[in-house]
Amino acid sequence: MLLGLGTLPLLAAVYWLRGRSRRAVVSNLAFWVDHRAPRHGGRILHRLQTPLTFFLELLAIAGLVTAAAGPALRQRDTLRPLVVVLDDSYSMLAHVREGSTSARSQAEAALATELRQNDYLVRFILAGVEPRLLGEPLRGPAHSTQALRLWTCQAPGADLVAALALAAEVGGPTARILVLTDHDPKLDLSHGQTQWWACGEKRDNWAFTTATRNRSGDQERVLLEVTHFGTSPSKSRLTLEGGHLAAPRIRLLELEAGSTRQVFVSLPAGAPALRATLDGDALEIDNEVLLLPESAKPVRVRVDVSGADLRRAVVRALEATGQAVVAGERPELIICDKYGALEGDAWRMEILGATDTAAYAGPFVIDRNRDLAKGLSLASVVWSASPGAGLSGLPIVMAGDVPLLSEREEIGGRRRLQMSFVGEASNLQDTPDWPILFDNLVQWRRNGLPGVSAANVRLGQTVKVVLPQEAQQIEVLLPAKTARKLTVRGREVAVLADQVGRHTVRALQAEHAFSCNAVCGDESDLTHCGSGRWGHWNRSAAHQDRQASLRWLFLLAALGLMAAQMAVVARESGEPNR
Amino acid sequence: MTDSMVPFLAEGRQTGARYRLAALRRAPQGTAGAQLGRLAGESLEFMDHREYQPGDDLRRLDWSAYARSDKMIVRLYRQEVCPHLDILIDGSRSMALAGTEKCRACVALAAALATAADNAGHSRHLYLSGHGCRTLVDGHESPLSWQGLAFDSQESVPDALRALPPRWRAQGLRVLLSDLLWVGEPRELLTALSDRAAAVYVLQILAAEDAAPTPRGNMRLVDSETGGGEEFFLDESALLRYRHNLQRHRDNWRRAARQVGAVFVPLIAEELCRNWDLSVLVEAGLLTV
Repeated sequence: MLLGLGTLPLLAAVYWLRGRSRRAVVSNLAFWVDHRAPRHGGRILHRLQTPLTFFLELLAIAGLVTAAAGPALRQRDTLRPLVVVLDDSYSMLAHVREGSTSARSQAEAALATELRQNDYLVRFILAGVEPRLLGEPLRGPAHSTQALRLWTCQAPGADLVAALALAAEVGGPTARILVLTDHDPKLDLSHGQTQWWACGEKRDNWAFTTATRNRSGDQERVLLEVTHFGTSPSKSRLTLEGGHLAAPRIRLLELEAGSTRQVFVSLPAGAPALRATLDGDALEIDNEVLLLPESAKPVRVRVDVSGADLRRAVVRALEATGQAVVAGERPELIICDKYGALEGDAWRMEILGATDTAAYAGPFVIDRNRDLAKGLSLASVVWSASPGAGLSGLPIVMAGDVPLLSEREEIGGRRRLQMSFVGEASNLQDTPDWPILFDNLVQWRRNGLPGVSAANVRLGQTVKVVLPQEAQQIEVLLPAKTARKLTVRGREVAVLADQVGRHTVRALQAEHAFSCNAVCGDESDLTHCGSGRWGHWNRSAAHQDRQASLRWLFLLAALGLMAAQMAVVARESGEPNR
Repeated sequence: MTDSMVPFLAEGRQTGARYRLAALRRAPQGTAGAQLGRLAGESLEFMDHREYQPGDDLRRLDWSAYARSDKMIVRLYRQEVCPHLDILIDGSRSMALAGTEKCRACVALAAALATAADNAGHSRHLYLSGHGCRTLVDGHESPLSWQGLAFDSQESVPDALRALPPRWRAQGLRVLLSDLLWVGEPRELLTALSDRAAAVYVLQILAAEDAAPTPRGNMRLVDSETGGGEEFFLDESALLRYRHNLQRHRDNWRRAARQVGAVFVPLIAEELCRNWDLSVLVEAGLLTV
């Protein structure tokens, strides 16, 4: 190419030498003078006196030289793709040095440096419990910075293997994959496609690894498990606030490295939220839990069973659940012994007896996918029923081809359950399956009542929110004081608990709350963290930038220019009177 | 005369040997001469009879005819004339333009015309412009004897005519050999040239390079007569402009010549020297074979 460039001044020199003024004697100079030109009147613009062929040859040589240099255009779709896998687990929020930046910040800075130095078409994959693709491919650090705002590191874990698989699928076989995490790789990175950058640091950390609050009669029991992840014994203070406590209660915990301490707290039923905190350390997110009271509202059940024995058995089973109250008004569940119309929002369970009974001792066919059949064994059970009862809906329990228990969903999400059962000739009501069956029924109905499925969940869990029939949209007020609106389909909506703290769900006039806590021992354990870079990117041509070659364009232009130059020369040579 | 002109003169004399000057439409004047004119004159050559008219010389009455027809008949005799050729050669430097055949063509053509005049029995006189129009030494002799033929003058033909006009022979044939490449109105020169002339021929001898120049690119053009130079970029438009100027100049000369009854004949020196075919002058009525 340099040789080609050298011809440019050479050509200019040739034309300069050729273009120098040559001396010629003419008979009379007057005939050469342009008499139209005014002798006085300012400057006269003359045409460029360099011949056209010079420029044509100059451009042709320049075109050939450029073509020899192999120019290529790097277009958006031909940029080398880079898929960045971002460890979204909350251990990335741990400070890598005392009072300094987090592993996430360090990883983001390293990524920004790489993106400034090289031009990539970047795609991001959030590696949480499940990998998630972040939008369309981006180019340049500025766009990437915007996308990285979604990298909040609030996941209870990072499935990097699944994220790498997704990255390979998204980027293709020649894509470069970069993993930004806080620990060493456990994978083979010798295939030349993946680099693994870890920005973490081994640190001691105290964390809540379990936090539950369960109702038991008139009391609620709180279980807290505190674990010290470290290499040497350490102390920390556990502070309890709220609940029934008038003042914060502080306990000093001293634990060996890697050991766990269980703390039980008893609260009166319906006590306010209890907050438990540990002293500050490398990772703040797991130093605090908030436990809200579980919903204590029982299911109102009306029992319209005429048979005294059967009624007694039903009421006794309902009382055993601890979550139902037998009431006559505004029932949410009606248990009766005859077919009838549905009332309000109440579910209806009809225990239908008959005269032409048959006793079935099994084997029974149970649809285990139903909540109602959870835990049912029906071992040694004699179930008397009428073969011709004609239960409607989908059968849940069958004896041969005779349905014994069925369920059908009615308008408005209400359910009608029918059971063909004759208590006098059965022993089902005397077996453990009887209270199990009614506990499942009450629990199922309770889950169908407006409210959240759980008051305290782990980070990353999904909370089911049941809403009134008329609700179309809910608003979830997040711990970060931002709101998220969700559209309701049916009567249920699932809310992902992806932020630590109190979540408030507003639907119509009702308000439900649940608390999300970061209680995951694996993420709180920072002793396996580290820093370093592993793996390399293959330098073969297949992994280089895909560029569109422009060589043909310059060659074509050079050929065109040479043809034009030949045409000009031929025209000048062929002129008459020469 | 330099020896370099001798071959040209010999070449011209050899060419002119094949031609004679054509008879003039207007008879040359002269009471005595070597040739008979087309009009009636005083020679002894009988030409015709006609009736007597008052004023006729009574000595020309044909008394025999009167006796036979009782009519007064006069004998007419041919006029005796002495035709003359005056040649004016442009002695300016442009006539010897380097690299062209202008000098050769001009010298040889002058010699050819002189030889043709000799063949036709014309007397002749040669003039060379330069410090006036000077008679060429031994110009009445054979061309090979001519002396002082040189093209070194910076004076144009009109200036030379004004400075020292030639002593033209009345009713003579006058020929101007020049490239006519000077700026000025041709009528003045042609009027002086055609004054009391039987015929005037203006032979413009141009080099091929004068008629259709070929140089291209950056050129420093030097005037052959003044020595002055100027830078030009010669491209197609510049050459077109030159050809346009030259054509306009020629048209001026052709038009002016027609107005004074002169004949304008353009010649290209290189073409003339190629085979010395003077048929163009035959067609113009200057020469006959």
